[in-house]
Amino acid sequence: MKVQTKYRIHQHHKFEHGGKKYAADIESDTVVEIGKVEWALLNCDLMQTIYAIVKGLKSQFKAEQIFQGFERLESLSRRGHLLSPTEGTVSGQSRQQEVSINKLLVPFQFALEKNDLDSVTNENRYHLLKALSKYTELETINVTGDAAPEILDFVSVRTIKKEKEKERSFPLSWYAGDGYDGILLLSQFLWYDTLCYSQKVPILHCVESDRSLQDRVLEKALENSTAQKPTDMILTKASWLTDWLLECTVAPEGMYTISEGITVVEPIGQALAKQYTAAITGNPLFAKQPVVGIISGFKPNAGAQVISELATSNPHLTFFVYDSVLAEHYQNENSNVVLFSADDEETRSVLPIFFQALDLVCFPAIPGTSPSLVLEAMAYGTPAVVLSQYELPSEIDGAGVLVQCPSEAGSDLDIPMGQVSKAINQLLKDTKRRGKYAQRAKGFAAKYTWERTAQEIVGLFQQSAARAKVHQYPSAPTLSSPIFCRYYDPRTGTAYPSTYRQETKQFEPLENALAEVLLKSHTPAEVETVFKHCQCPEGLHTGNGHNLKG
Amino acid sequence: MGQKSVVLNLNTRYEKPVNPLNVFNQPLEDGLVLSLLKEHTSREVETILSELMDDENAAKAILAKCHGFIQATA
Repeated sequence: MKVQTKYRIHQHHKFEHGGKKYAADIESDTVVEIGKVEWALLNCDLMQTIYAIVKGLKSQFKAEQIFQGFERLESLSRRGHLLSPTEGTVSGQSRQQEVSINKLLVPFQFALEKNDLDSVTNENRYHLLKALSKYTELETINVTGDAAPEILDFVSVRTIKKEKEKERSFPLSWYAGDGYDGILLLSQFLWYDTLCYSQKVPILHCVESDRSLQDRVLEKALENSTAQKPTDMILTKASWLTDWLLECTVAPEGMYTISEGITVVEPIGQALAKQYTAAITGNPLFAKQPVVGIISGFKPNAGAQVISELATSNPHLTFFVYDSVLAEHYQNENSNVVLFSADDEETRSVLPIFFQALDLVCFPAIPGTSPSLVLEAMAYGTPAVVLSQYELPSEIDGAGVLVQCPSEAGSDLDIPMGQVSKAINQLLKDTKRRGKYAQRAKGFAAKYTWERTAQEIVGLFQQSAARAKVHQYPSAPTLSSPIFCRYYDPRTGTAYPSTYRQETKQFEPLENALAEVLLKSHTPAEVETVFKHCQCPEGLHTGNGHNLKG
Repeated sequence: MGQKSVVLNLNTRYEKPVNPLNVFNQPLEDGLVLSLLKEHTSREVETILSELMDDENAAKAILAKCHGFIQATA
């Protein structure tokens, strides 16, 4: 589904009279006054893409003028004058037809975040793109004119060159609808580009559960939720992340959960894995005592406290902790704890050995815990003890037990340490139940594959593209319009209505922007009446907005 | 401006007659939503309504009603 104008121009006659331009539509039997841009547009082939039309007229008019002229013609078309769309409303039968997804745009900005995210997240992105490239073509756009960014082999690079040196180049978003069936946004830090993305191209925002993102996840999801068109989607990688976002008022429409794929190596047996682990870590306890793996998504202080308390109260157990932050910065004093992080190929390659040595996996179901690491650790036949404020995550249903935790501010959990120790020890003793869970967990390797993840993502794009085909949506917000959104204040952990100003990159009070927007189309009296009716305590604001983001 | 102000066309009871025959009146909130939806996303309009009405569910209901109205009259 590409963004195309696809209008048939009616038979018409253009003429000037009294210094004004007119078009006489012979088919609808009307005469309408037009501007010079519409005049030029009526000389174009409107079966081309909008990009081709703008390119053709760029030497005569500014791009904004061409878009405005086109919008005016579309408005006339809706009344039956001058143009007729060749793609009408699709019938019920064709709604069911599958839309093919031939090419996805993957803005390369995500590659610049490599050092800011956990190595596991980066690795998963590689696997995801590789798997996706089997089902659809992947492309990124380089508009800077510099050398092409370093990107993976299976993602092609489209370089946009300026025709003239001083020519103002269009932003990336302008090209985003030209020939793409969807946009896959992997970036965790950039969001405002999405606001001006082309209308009919569905956007899929991937929200990562990364150790270094934590509450930033919510901020991004709220931002994306605001910018969302009805065809856009937010994709989370874990059910607990979805639960948390929904609880934090992110709209459920367009939010999907698809588990990431996992890669499992040929098992070497738990006894041998324990010996190897003891040898590699230099800690003989791994070969002697039951091993509990903790896949941590905790904030550093909370993580250090939980691990320390667990290790102290359970000296008969050994703890293998995967935590990329604590492994680097925390001085562990417990002899039965090993902190680990897979930062490079060498450490990543030994991680499966450690996972095979585990008797139990324990993890907090919070943003920051890597769902793919949890599933990978369990896939060798290891049951889980889940710490969560919600129900047992659907991904591991039937393969673990839940320790219900009260929630604290933000994404934090109030961990009942006594109950966690009790749940771990009970499950270690209950060999029958553990065996049942282990059997279920062993099926994860076949269940969570990258091929399945890629297929499901392509399926989401197909559904969304089909929806876009049958609906007409209002025009995209322009850069000059204020964007109404919810502002997430990380200091208080609350979200409240606000307005974002694209030009200044600042937030400002909602009432000011609302008054400004309404005044474009309505009289001051009408606007005042709206505010009076809604009993807005602050009334109309005329002052400058404050910058909440500093 | 005169022609544009007809979009809300508010009366003294803050109601808006949407059709020329005045068969039924439309509340102000509906007119506001219909006006804002021309240039802003549903999410944005929902944010505004939630702020003005202090009732998120009522805001969602109004938005859904207006979407239905737009589709029915498209």
